[in-house]
Amino acid sequence: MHCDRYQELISALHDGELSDAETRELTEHLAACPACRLFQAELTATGTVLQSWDETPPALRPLPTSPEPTRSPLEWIVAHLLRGRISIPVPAFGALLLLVLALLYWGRPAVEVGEQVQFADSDVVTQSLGERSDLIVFSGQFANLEPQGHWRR
Amino acid sequence: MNRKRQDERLNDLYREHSGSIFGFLYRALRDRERCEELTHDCFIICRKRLVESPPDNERFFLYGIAHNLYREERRRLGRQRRLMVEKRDRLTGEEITQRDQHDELVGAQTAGIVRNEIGRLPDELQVPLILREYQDCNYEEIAGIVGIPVGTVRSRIFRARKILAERLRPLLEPKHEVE
Repeated sequence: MHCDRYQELISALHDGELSDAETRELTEHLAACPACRLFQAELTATGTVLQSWDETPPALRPLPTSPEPTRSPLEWIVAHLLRGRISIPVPAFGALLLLVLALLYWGRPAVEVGEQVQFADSDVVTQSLGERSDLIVFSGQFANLEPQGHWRR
Repeated sequence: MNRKRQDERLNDLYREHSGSIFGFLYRALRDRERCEELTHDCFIICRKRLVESPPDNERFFLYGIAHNLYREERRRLGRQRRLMVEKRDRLTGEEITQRDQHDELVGAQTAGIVRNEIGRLPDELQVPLILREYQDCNYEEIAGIVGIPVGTVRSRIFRARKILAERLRPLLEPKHEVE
């Protein structure tokens, strides 16, 4: 029973957690007690085993990063405008809007697909050419014409 | 502390301490993926608390959070799973003596024995021992992390070592057995 307390002190000594007075007391006891000396040797050996055969934990893997959602330039501009990160003065915004409208008007096909138009004094019906809705071909006697774009009435 | 500075401070803390916090959790729970999640949870909680009350000792503060997460995890897992894992890969010191000592006392198997014997310790002994042996915490820090007096820390670490000394006796050098 008496040695239990000293064995606890041996453990604390191993960790460098003993006061000077406790260290002196323990040293005196160890000099007189073979059982505690044996325990000290065993504890030291156990400490060596714990350190030598420690299984090093694997490295911590970094957090997976979520990919940035892909956005079209228009979506990006709208999102940033809504968040207030881009400020455009009203006149500049008006000019920009007019420019966009003008481009849309002048850029649109002059003849819609399926529309009847006059060509070389004949009525022809425009047809689409595959997915290229900006190109049209002609039916009837002009069917062998090359596809044309942006025809006007 | 504004938000940007908080995030910078948290990044510094993560770089400095995430490895050791993960090491503590991994040694106590032995489940890599779960321990990684808990480590990241630890820093999420830390971020919230940094705003409320910035700690004096951040390392100690992080270990305190990690210890709480560990306890919650143990409660969640329950005792059953732990016992199943132990039974699966337990190889006690007594069994070693029945085998070829030269072959068995080397390499990963020995590391596995040490790991399992630490894992078999009761929770209240295991955590202070891990914090002392592997995480380099002193008794005062362990007392703060676990929430017990310093004297109890000393006593628990002693009891843990005494149990391990008995169980790992076959692994100890022969000279220590005959001294």
